[in-house]
Amino acid sequence: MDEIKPKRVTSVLILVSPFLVGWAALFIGAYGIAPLDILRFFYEALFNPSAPDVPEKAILFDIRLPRLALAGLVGIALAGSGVTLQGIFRNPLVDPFILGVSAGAAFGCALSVGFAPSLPVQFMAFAFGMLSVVLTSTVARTQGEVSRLPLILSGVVISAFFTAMVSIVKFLVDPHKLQSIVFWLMGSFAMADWRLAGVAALGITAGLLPVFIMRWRLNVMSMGEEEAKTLGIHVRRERVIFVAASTLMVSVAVSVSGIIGWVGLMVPHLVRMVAGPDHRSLVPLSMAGGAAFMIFADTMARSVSNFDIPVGIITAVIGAPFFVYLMKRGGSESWGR
Amino acid sequence: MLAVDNVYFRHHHGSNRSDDGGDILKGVSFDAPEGRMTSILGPNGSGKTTLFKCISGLWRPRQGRVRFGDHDLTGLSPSEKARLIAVVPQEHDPPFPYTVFDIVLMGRASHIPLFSAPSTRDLDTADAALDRVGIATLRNRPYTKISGGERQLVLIARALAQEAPLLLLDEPTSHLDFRNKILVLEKVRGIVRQKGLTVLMTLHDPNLAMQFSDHLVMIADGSILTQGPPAAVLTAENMKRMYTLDVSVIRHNGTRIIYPEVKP
Repeated sequence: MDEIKPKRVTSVLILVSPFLVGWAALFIGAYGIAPLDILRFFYEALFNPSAPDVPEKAILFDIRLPRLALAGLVGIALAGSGVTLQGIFRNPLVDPFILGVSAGAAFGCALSVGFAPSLPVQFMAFAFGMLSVVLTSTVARTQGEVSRLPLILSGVVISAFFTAMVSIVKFLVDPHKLQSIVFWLMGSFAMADWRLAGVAALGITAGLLPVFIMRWRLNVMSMGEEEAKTLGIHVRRERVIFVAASTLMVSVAVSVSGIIGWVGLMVPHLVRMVAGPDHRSLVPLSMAGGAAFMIFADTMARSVSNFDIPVGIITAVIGAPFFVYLMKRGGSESWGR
Repeated sequence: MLAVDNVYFRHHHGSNRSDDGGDILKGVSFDAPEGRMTSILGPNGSGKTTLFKCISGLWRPRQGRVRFGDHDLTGLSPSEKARLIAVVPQEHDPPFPYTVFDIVLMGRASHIPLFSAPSTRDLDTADAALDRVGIATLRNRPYTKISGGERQLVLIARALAQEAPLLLLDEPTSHLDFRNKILVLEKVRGIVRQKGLTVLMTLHDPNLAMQFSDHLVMIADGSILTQGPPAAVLTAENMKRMYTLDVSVIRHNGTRIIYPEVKP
């Protein structure tokens, strides 16, 4: 029988995975730190501030830990917004990257870095992220409903448009700024410090809270606009809340780490496969899984070669084949209508 | 009592669906008595679906009112409306493989505040609805992997979990086989009688309408043709007027059977 049993063990494993992966990430790197030393440093930081300062400590607390926190937060943001967007657009093949939110937010950031340094980067990222998701869903909307294939196609169009706009900015700014825009766009946590992690924590939490609190309603929203409405959901109002909240998470993520694709698509999918589609558990588990995956990808990015490879390259190398696999596997199921 | 009073509807200009911008509903008025099963019978394109969408509040009538008891349904918020009317759609494919229980629990949406999750009372109500429809054994199965008849029952259970006094069923039997049609309608009738709910449903089969309704409304080309007790309404003449098809009525054991005159 296809009885679906509650998967407690799997769920607990996914929830603790960011800590397990994070633990490993702390002692992997160009400068080896013994796993047990990490425990000792944490103990000293908390209970014995007079302990001698060693270089390992600085590496742990000023380099690896903020980077780990930032990667985890961005993973939470990308997977959290991916699962939200998949729910409200009732489309398992979308994520902020595919819908053009990332590209829109990136344009906002580039604009701010290049021409309007007085405006906060996060504000511009959010404004253009919202603009792009509104454009994508407006272009895709026919006869009152947003169907699946047109949504993805219009996402491609809007994404291409904002990517071109970013190129124009790159063309116009001075070379000094150009370099930082190019490197940042590839998606990387190399710039991580505690200030950046703090900004990310604040913005991402603000977007995450409403999604987390209202997550059960994503079940109802995913049944389609008319059905959700007859079930008593104020569809237009709640969709605005969900879209704005997930765009905020993505914009803040893009502003601190550039464009990192595929995480928002892959993680909710994998979690749904092992833990079921009920958003009450899917949302928190996707966020945890996103954090773990992002930390894992970033650890790979900084340790597989002598260079700090942009992490966006790692996620794309894993994500593109995964998307092809989904397309082949769930043909009619995912592309129907 | 559900009272539909002089409802006119047309699509806005510029909508893809509007052909000539003319009225699809042309002054529809009828009553669905409280605690009874009322069926709407009408050919394809007669405006049944449009009428349903106007009653459930998805579309706004150009003119006219829909009242249920003391409530004017046209001006209510979605959650207020959902606490009065439960809509049972035709069985369908959701994008994600929710369990049967997840689907039934969705019926509680109008009772759960915006920033809350379902309470134990909501979970209990959903379980009670599954029990009432007799599908508690399906509880943890994926909705996407059960039969069409079972899905229709799940959607009926969801409507019960909604705890609304008025039930709208949109062609509840259209995807079902011979036996499941009877099964589903018998179940609905049992529940309606026990709970005193008011039911309005659209049907295609005049014989099912004859057997399972207390009140019958015939609609053709956006207007009410006639309404009343099934035995009075389902005559050969009325059927002929509605479908422009030659129809005979046979009497059998106190009921009547309607069948089309097909030339051999």
